[in-house]
Amino acid sequence: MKFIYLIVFFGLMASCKPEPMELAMPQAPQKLVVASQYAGEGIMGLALSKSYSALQKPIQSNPEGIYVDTSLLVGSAKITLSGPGMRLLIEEFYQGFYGSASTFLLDGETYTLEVKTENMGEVSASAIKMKKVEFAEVSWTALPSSMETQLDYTLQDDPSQGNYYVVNYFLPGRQNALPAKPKPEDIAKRLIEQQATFDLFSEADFTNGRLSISKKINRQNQGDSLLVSCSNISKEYFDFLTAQKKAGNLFNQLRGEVVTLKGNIHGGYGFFSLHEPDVRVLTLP
Amino acid sequence: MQPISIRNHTFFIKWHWLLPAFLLLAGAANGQSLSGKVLDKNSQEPLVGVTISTPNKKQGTVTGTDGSFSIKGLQSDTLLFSYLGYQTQVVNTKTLANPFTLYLVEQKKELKEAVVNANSATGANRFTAGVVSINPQEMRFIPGAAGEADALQSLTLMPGIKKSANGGEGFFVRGGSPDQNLFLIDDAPVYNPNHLLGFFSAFNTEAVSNVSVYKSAMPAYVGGRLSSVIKVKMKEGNHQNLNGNAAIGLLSTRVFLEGPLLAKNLSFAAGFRRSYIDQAFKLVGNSLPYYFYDGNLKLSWLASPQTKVTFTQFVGSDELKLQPAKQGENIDFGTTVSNYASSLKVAHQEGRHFITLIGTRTGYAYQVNARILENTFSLKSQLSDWIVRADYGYHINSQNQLRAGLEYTRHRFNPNQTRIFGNLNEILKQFQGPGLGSNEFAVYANHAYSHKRFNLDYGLRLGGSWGPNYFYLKPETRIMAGWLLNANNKVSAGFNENYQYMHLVSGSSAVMPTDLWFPVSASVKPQMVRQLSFTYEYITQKGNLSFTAEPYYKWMNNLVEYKEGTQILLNNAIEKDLIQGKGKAYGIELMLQQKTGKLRGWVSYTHSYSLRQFDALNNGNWFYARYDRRHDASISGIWEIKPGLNFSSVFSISNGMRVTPIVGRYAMPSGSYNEIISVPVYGNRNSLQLSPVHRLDVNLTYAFKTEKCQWEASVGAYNVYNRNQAFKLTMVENEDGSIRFQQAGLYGFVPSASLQVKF
Repeated sequence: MKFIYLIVFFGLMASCKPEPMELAMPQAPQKLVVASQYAGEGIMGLALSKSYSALQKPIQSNPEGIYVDTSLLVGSAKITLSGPGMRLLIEEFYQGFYGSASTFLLDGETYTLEVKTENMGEVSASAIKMKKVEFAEVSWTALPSSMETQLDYTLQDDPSQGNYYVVNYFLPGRQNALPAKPKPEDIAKRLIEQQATFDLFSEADFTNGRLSISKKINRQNQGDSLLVSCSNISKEYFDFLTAQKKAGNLFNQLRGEVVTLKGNIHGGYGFFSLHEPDVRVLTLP
Repeated sequence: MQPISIRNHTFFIKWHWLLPAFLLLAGAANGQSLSGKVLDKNSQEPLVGVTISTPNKKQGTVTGTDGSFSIKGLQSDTLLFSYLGYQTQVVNTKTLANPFTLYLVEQKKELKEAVVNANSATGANRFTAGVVSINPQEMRFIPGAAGEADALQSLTLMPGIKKSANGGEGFFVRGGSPDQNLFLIDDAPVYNPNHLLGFFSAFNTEAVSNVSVYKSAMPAYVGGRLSSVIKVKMKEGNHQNLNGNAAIGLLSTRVFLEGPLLAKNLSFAAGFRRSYIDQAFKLVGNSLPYYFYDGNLKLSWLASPQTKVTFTQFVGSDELKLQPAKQGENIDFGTTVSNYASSLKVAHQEGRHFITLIGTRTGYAYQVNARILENTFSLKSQLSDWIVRADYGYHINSQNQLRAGLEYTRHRFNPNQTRIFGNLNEILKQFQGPGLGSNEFAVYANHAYSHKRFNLDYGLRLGGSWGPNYFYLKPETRIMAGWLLNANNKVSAGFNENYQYMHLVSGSSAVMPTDLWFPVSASVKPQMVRQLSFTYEYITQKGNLSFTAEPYYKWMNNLVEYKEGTQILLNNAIEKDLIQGKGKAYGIELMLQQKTGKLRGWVSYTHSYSLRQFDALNNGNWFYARYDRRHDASISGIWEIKPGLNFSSVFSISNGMRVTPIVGRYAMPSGSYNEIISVPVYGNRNSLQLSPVHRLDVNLTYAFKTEKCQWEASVGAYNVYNRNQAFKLTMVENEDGSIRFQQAGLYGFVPSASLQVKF
């Protein structure tokens, strides 16, 4: 029998696994990328950057932090926001970052963003200013039997606009990040500890106009802060975030279909949204 | 509300008067003619592709998939019956009954010919456009994976039939998707026809009698899938003597035994094959606890001269069990992919009437068991079918044959049955749903008519499916006509319309054994194809060289894909993620074949296009299907160096797999604003082709005899020059932080050696 195994052994040893072949991946021209946030009280922030080749890796992410190549940021752009009876210039306050403290917008009105640059061309986008919806209730409880905190909150339906919501949890630390070369244990740990850092809700989730959620969050050090916010968002932005969430899902990364994030920037990438979050700061017990 | 869909009323009504018209034509036909069946003398098995010709080769035909033939207008009293591996018989037609049964005797000496029949009716008045058949004598000369003759591998050398590059399980016929092929083993469906991610087929060639592929112009009694029906017929067993063979190769070993059982009217044929990759790795101190096995058993009982009862059992499984190799590693993983198929068939002939009753039971399952830290996870998906079928054939005369029947299938699906213990329970939901059931049926009638130089085969298949909240009823039209221009040239044309009532939903990147089958539903409609195909065939006067050209065009509707972003794993509501669209495929298939002589073989080439259009994909624009291959060619040659010593080789080349390229990226804050994400920008769907896939396989076979046995030793190699058969795209980070894309292959050069003994 050993003779047979020896034949098998030498046969297998002689087998080769061919070297992988290089592939020239065609690359699309660079485009402008817009990311925006309206914070209420007239404050609006906007980041302008440019897309990059899939053959580059200008963003380095590891458990210690995120490092972005600042050459991606696009400065010296002329950015205007116009709407009913107003036209506002949004100033650059740091290379690639723009903002205004006098962006007072009317709920339900449509505003248009126009971006003009010297080298990267122009982009534009329109969005409706969504009415701010606040948490109806929010509270937290330390769970004594585990290293977790339970967050309870309730959202109240706003009948005056579409009911699409994003709830963000701003967690300290980066416990969800995977190292560059994860071991099976790292993946397992993430699988078990994975928790959404934002949740999306639509009308179908509401019962009699209310939605109550209990969510367990990994407890950090005593006294750490947790920021939680809710925003009423447009259907388009809801779809954009839904796609983003799918793309980040571990099972999807293992075996899922490609996800194309459909933004609303004409001639560029990203999303221009005018939703106003209700932000609460909780100190973890 | 139950949606009822009946389309093509016009076709349906027309057939009502068309059928009786041809029946009248059938009754009016007459002339000097002969028909019958050709069987193996030992096993009583029908022989497919037997060449029947007059001594001057001016008239002739070949036997069909049930061994039957029909020839008319005979100008000679003598007919030659020749078949690879069998003694040629010369018969005097004046002394024969009509119809009659002829028994051919297998040659015990070395085989002289190796021919693949693809529409190869010599001077034929019988047209078989779109049908390819191949028997084991032919397969055994074609180099296969690890030195094993492989039925499916051999078929992929035929034009229009393609298998995905190594590492994928797909089998593509004329631009269709993998789920559009129905594999039948003695009439029972086999849902996973592969082992080892497609490296081996699930069918042990030693136990196979014949393989036929219907890829266009299907007769009405064939259906259930859009692109092809692949019929694998198992050997029935020798009724006279006990014999068999055993072979040992580098990766697997196999045995086959056949003979009479208890009495000469009862025979058996049994085969078993197991790989020992696991044992080989263990020997060198490594662990790859993977193996596959398959087993076949067929019992054949000649209950009377007119009645035969056969029972077939097939089982096959791929097993992988990874255990912690070192102390402290907390991952444990195992997976099993298994098939089984059983069929019971009663065939009875009473004069010109043939009745066949078939009952089959089929099962397919995969199971994944995993332990991660203190959590355990088990996932199981199952599919099982019960099928009953009744088929009636009436041999009106040598020019007219009728065939009609009905079949019913009960499908049972139990996808994604999960059991979870530990903290994973908080992330993954247990699912032990009630499963899905669906019913499929078909009623069909087919008339084959031939008159002098003209042949016509037409029929109607009325198929459908029902289940919770849905009912579909679809007529399928089949027609094929041929015209013998002269002794050397023939043309034929066919049209077929097929519906498919279940779908294998594969991801856009690869076909995996863990892909799920789903039935149609109220929202997921049956897939449909209409195909128009033509065949031109030229064959030399001596019948040693032939050329075939087959252009075709297919229109497809209600094809199934996933929505963008669908999570395929552990998705218990996958029906919501399915979308339907349309497709078209067209091309031309060419084949040049040298059938006799010391150097034999064939060259095949296919130029084809396969496109899809889904409103929700690629901005609604048409895109190339993943199986689109513009060029696909192969050269297969067998050189008989001296009696008993044969050298064979296959060179195949085709365009690479299509993928969706990442043409850029951009940075965005995540929805939670606590990280920056790199968002990929995709190009047009499937717009990038991986490098061409090509390889050379060789095999040297030496056959010799000892006092009691026949031996056959072979050495060879798969992928001689170690070409990367790219099947997936990987991203690699360079030292300077930049990225490059690579195409990975799974199998390179694989040497083979095997020793077979026949007794």
